[in-house]
Amino acid sequence: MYVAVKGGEQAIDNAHALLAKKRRGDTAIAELGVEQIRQQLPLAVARVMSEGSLYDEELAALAIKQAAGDLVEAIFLLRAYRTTLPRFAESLPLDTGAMQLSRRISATFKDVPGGQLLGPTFDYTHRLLDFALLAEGERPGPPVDENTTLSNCPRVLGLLGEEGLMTPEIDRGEPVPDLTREPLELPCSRAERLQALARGDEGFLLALGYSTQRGYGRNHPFAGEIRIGTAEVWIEPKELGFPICLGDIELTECEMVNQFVGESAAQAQFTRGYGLAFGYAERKAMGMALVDRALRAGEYGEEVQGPAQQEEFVLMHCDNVEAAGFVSHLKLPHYVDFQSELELIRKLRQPQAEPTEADAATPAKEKRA
Amino acid sequence: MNAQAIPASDAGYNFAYLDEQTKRMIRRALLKAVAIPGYQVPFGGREMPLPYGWGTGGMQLTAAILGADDVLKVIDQGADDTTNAVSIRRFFARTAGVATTERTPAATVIQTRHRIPETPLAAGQIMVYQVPIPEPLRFIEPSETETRTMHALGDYGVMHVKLYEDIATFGHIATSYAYPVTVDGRYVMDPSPIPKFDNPKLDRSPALMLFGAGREKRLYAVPPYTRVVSLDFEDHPFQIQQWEQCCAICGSGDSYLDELIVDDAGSKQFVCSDTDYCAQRAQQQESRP
Amino acid sequence: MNRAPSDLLQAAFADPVLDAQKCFRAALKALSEPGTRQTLVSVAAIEPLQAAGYALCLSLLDNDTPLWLAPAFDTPAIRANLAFHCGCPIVEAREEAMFALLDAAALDDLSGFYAGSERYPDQSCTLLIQLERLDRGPALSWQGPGIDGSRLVGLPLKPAFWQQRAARNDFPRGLDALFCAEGEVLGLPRSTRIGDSLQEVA
Repeated sequence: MYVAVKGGEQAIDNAHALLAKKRRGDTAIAELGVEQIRQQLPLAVARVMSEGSLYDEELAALAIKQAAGDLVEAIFLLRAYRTTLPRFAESLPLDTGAMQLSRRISATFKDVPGGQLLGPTFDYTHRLLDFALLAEGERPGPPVDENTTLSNCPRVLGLLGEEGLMTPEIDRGEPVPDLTREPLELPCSRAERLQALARGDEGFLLALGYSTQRGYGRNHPFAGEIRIGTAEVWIEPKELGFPICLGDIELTECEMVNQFVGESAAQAQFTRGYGLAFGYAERKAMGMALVDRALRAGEYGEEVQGPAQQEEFVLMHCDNVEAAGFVSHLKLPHYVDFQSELELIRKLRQPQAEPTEADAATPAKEKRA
Repeated sequence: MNAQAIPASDAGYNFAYLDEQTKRMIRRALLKAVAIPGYQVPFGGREMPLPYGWGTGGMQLTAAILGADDVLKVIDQGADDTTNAVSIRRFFARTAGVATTERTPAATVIQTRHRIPETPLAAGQIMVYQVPIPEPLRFIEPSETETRTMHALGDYGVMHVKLYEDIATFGHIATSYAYPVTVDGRYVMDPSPIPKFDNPKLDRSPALMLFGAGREKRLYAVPPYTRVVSLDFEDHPFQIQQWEQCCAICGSGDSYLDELIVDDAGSKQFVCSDTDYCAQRAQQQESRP
Repeated sequence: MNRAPSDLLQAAFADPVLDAQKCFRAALKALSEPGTRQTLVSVAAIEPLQAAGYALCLSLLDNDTPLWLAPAFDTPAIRANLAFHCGCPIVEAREEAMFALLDAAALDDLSGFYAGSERYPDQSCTLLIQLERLDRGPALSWQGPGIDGSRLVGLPLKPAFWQQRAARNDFPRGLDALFCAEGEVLGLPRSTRIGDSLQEVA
C-alpha cells in the first residue's frame, strides 16, 4: 500500500504506455483518423470547442482522439493548449442576425418571417437503434438545390422588441472583460456571467436549467428562437482603421422569452435569457439561456429561491475542468493530513484527565501584548 | 546547469511553459502579495497541463519565478519520490531545463504539497505551496462576497466561534491540518494543508513563503521574518502533534512521522515523512564508526 | 514630435525572457526584504530614465498596466520606447495608473494615486521611483514583515515624502514603492513601519 504511492519516473512512463495501448484498442481494426472524428462526430467536436473556448475543429478532433473519447478530458487538453496562445485582437460583436442559417425555429409563433427551418435535428426522430449503421450502410442526404436562397430571417425577439414587449438589452459600451485572463470578481457583470456559462459544463447547465422548470426559481420560459448556422468574425486592427473578416464559425444561439416584469401593468415587458455555443449545440445553448435568465433574478428584483439563481454557486461550480481536477485530486496521496487526523481522533477518544472548561476559553488575540 | 536536452516536443513552449505576459501578470500579483502579507491576491490563473487540484497554483508561481540559475526541489507529503512530485519536477526540468535536487539546503526554490521540510530553511530560499482552498473562512462561510468583507474588516469572530465549539464538543480544537494562522497581526491565513506540526516553522522563517491556488485563482505570501501565529485560546494553547514512537529508519524523535501498516495483522511502523531529512540522518549514522 | 518614433527606439533587454526574470526576482526580494538593495540587469538608459528604472519597466509593464509619467520622464524618447517594448498605455489621470514612474522632484505630492480598497487592497498603484542614490540620506529605523527586528535605511528623501506616504497608508490600503538608482532596486512596501529615530548619516 505504501509502495503504491511511491512511484518513480518508470512507473509514470509505464502508466502512459498502458494508456496509449488502451486508447488504440485492437490493432487489427483500422486506426481512427482525426479527420474522421471531425467529419463524423461533429457534435462531440462542437462541445469540446465550446467548453474548451477555442474554435478549431481539427484540434478539437485531435483532443477527442487523444482523450479516447472522454470529452471532459478533451476539453481540458484544448484549454491547456489555448492558454499558451497570445491574444492578438478582440473581434467585433458577432452579427448573429446575419447568420447563414441551417436551422431556425421559434416555439412562440406558428410562423415567423423567414419561416421555420427544421434543418438537421434529432427532434422527431424515433429513438430506434439503426441497425443499418451497424452494417456500415451509407444513407445519403436529401438532394440540395444549390440555387436556393433563404429569405430574410429577422430575429423573433427583435420583432417583439419593436412592439415594446421585450425589456431592451442595452450595450453601454463597457470594456468586455476576459474571464480567461482576469479573475472573476463577485458580483460580476452579465458579460462575465455569459462567458462563464459559455465555458460551463453542458450537463451542469442542463440540470440547473431543468431545476428552474421544476420550480427552483421558475421563470416561465418560451423558446423564442433557436438559430444554428455560420456567422462571420470580423476584427478591426487599430493600425488598419478598417474591419477585416477572418472567416466563418458555426454557432448555436438560443433566445428564451421569459416572464414579464414592469412597474405597472401598462409597462409590463417580457424578459430574456441568452445562450450561445460553438457548433451545433442546441442543448447547451438552451440550458445556458435558462440559467442566464435565472441569474438575472437580482436585476429584476426577484426572490432568489433556487440554486440556478445564485450567481456565486453557479459560476464557481460550472467549469468542468476545475471540477474534474479537484475531484480527481482526491486520488493524490493525502497520508500526511490523514496521519494528523488519526493522531487527533485517537487523542479525542482518550478519556479526559480533567474536565475542560470551554466556557473560560478566551480568544488568543486578547492574550497577545 | 542541467545537461538534459529539452525534447523537441517542448520546443514550441516558452521557458518554464508560461508565456511572458502571463508571467508578468503573476509577478505583479506576487509583488502585491508580499506587500500585503497574508492577503489573498486574485490573479488570472491559467489552465496548466496538469489538472486543477494537482498543484496548478504552485506550478504557475514556480513558472513565474524560476530562472536559469535556480535549483528546484519538489515534494509531496514531504517526499521527493511520490508520483506527483516526480511529475512536477520532471515538468520543470523539461520546460525550463533547471537543475533539480532532493537536498533541502541545496534548493533555491522548493515547491511543496502538504509539508514544510524538517531541515530549517535558510535566507534566500523560496517555498512555493500548493493550495487547494485558500480561504480559511470558506468552511464556515461559503460565500466569497461575505468572506472578503470579513477580511476587509478584520472580523474573524466566526473563526473563534468555530474553534470554541470544537473545544465545547471534543475538548480540543478539532483541526489538525490547514490550521489557521494570523499573519503580522492582521490577516487570518490558510497555511495550505500542512499538518499543524509544521505551523511553527512559518513563524519568522528566514525564507520567503509563496502560496498559489490555481483553481481558486488566488495567491498570497509571507515575507521572511514575519510573525505567524496559530490561532488558539489562553486555556487551550496551540499544540503540535507528538508520537510515542521514533522513526524506524533514522530514529528521529522530533520529525513528522508517517504511519505504515506493515502486515495483515495491522502491525504499525512509523517513518519520517521528510524523505531527504531521513536519508541524510541515516547516512550520517552509517558513516559514523 | 519632430522625428518619427522609430528613430527614437533603442535596444531593451539582451535576453527578454531571462533578463525580465532576473529583474523581477530582484524586485520580489527588494519588496519582501524591505530596505535591502538588489542588483538589476544592465540595460541602456533613455535619458533621463536611468538603467535601473528602465529595467524595472521592461520587466513589469505591458498593455495591462496603465502608467503615469512624472513630467521629467514625459519625453518623446521614453514614450516611444515604453510604447514599443512594453506596450503600456500612458495615462494622464493619476487615479487610473497601476504604476507611476517618478523622480525625486515628484515626491512632494503623491495625491491621486490609488491606494486600493479594504476589499481589494492589491489594486493600489505601485510607485517606481528613480533617485540619484539609495544611501547617505537620514537613517530611519524600518520594521515589519521581511525585516529581522529592525533595519536602518538611509534613503536620500525629504520629510515631505514620508508625510505623503503616511497620509495614504492605512493598512491594508497603501502605496508600495520600488526605489532605484545605480543599477539597484530597494523596496518599501506599505507593510513597513517607519520608526521616528532619525539620525544623520555622513
